[in-house]
Amino acid sequence: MTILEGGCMCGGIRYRTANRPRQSIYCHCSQCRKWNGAPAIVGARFDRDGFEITGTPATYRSSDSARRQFCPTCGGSLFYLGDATPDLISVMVATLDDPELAPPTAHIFAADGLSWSRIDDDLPRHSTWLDSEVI
Amino acid sequence: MSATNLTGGCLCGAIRYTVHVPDPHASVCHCRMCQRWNGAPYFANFSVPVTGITWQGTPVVWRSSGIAVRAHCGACGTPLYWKGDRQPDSHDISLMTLDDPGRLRPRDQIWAKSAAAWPGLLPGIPAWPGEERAGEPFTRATD
Repeated sequence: MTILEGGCMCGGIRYRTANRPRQSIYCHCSQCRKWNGAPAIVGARFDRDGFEITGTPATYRSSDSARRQFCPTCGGSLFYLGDATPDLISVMVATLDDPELAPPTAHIFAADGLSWSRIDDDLPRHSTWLDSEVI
Repeated sequence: MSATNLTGGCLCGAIRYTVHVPDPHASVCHCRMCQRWNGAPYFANFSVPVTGITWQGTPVVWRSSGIAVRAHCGACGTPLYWKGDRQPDSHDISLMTLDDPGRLRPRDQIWAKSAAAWPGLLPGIPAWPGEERAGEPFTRATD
């Protein structure tokens, strides 16, 4: 069984899980862009049960519906926690030791994407969340 | 003139800045350290002299390697800038922290050799294999 492992840049926070990601998606929303320093991020959702974190991330409430967690030492952006899905944790895929293990399968908030960062692939491009129209 | 200055800040608003230089050079870095720090496939940034920007709030500065420091907001964690020891008068600000990130378009890409398989390099923007913007532009093998 492959264990997925990852962590922040300084190593102060590490995580590991034997679970497979439930989904892995690009997000183009303005909050993710700002928090991650890139025009789009890839987040992978895992079951919280069985997801082990070592070190204590700092927590920031980024909206009425979600919190984000980062390393207080190096500032590395790590986790997104939606209030509506307490049993799940979204991991910033670029923090995996091998990000190739969680390739994205869709785009969300594609309507917010910047002109110079359009990603030409065949993945469905949802206007907002995954249940929104494909544009 | 002030109406055209670039402004920005972190996600929570504890750190704000105003840029006083026109049309700074914007770039994208695909190095593995930037990927891991930002939790994203690459780091979009723009270079300004340290005297060309006014900060409100105090970023947390962390030495990320023997050649550079990085700064973030201590309250929300938003990455803010990279500053190399070899260019002590300049630093690279996170482009996505601009209030209007559409005002700057990256002119080149560095560390293309470590670009993530997806999304890969940005199309139509010159790319260089490593840190130096010299030699032959990088072309990903069409395997």
